[in-house]
Amino acid sequence: MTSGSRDASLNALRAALDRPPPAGLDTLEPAELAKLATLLTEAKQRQKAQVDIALTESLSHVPLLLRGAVRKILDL
Amino acid sequence: MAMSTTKAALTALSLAQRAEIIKLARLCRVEDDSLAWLGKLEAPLIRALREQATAAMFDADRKRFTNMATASRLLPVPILVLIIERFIGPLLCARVCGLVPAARAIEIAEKLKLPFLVDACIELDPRSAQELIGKFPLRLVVAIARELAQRGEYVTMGRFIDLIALDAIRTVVDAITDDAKLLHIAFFAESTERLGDIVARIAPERLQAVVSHAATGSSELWAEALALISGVDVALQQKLAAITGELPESALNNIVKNTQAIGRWDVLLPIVARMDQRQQKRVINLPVIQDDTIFADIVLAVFRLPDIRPVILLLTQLEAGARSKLDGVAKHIGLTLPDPALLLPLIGGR
Repeated sequence: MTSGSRDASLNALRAALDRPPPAGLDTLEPAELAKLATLLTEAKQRQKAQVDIALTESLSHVPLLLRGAVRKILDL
Repeated sequence: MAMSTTKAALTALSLAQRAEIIKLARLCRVEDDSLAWLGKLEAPLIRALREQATAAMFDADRKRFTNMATASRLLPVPILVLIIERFIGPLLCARVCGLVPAARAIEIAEKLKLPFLVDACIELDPRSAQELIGKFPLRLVVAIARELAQRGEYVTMGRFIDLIALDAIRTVVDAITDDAKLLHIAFFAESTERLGDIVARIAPERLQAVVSHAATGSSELWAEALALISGVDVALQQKLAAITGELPESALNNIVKNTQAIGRWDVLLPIVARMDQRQQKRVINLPVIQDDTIFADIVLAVFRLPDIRPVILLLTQLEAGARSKLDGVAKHIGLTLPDPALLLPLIGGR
């Protein structure tokens, strides 16, 4: 494994965490760093998707009379 | 086959690593065992990763949730409660509630149905929930704790007990009548300092019941008990060690069997070394320990300890025959236990 692939994995990890990852990840191989970055990126995406679905669903069930109030609360 | 290998890999990790990996797995919503490969990292590093991942995941929509919190102030609480329960749901409620002033959030929480409130607690951002949970009325805290324990939400409970007011701890502990559940929760406690505060507030008879339950239970439960005992400060460790040292022989035999099964003599021996001399003698001379395989694992564990002195002194409590057998086993695996006489001047007698 090259230092290039290690740097690429660390960059992916930094993107997943929105900040530099904690120091001390040297014991992980580049492939493991990449796996970690994928794990955290997917978790973040999953979380975001859940929130988006919850926002859309909550509005779709609201009766017309209340829709304005709920839309305001949901910041939509 | 692959599954059992990863399961074994997770079990082989230190207790703190195991707890951290499970917490990270829950955060990422993946199977616990699928992250066993992170066992290459020390527990504090896995924790740091989890904290950063939590921040990244929960901060993504923060602006939107702050706006939602502001907008929610426009509605009277009864209407808001109706909208939250029927349309907004626990996930969004959890994300917003930490951003609402605590007094209003509590007013709302008190009117929400308990199952809904517990669903929301599971989704809470642990950082923004800190002030809120600490101010929850005791009645609500106990009800939530009981329901979380009932659902087996031990990771959430580990976070939850970190946040509730200290004077509520005893009532919460009393409300969770299942000793095993209490151990599961303690295993996931966020701070060992807090864990000590909690153990110190548990009634002595309940502590005895918990230790006894762990001692006579499965190896998994015993692993959690070991994590608890080794995680608290020296005074509490002595107290828990003393309770363990008084257990009936059948329970001690089960402890030996389970410690061997999980390979954690490096955790148990320093705890036994905290017992008084009579108890040390009793435990270390249990017939069930006088086994070549166990002795070999004990010797190997001694050399993994950061401070071997208390355990070397503990091993002087072995009766002559057993000691000579232990030395023979050590020799067989190419190791020699240090002469305790050489250690005594370093530690002022004992």
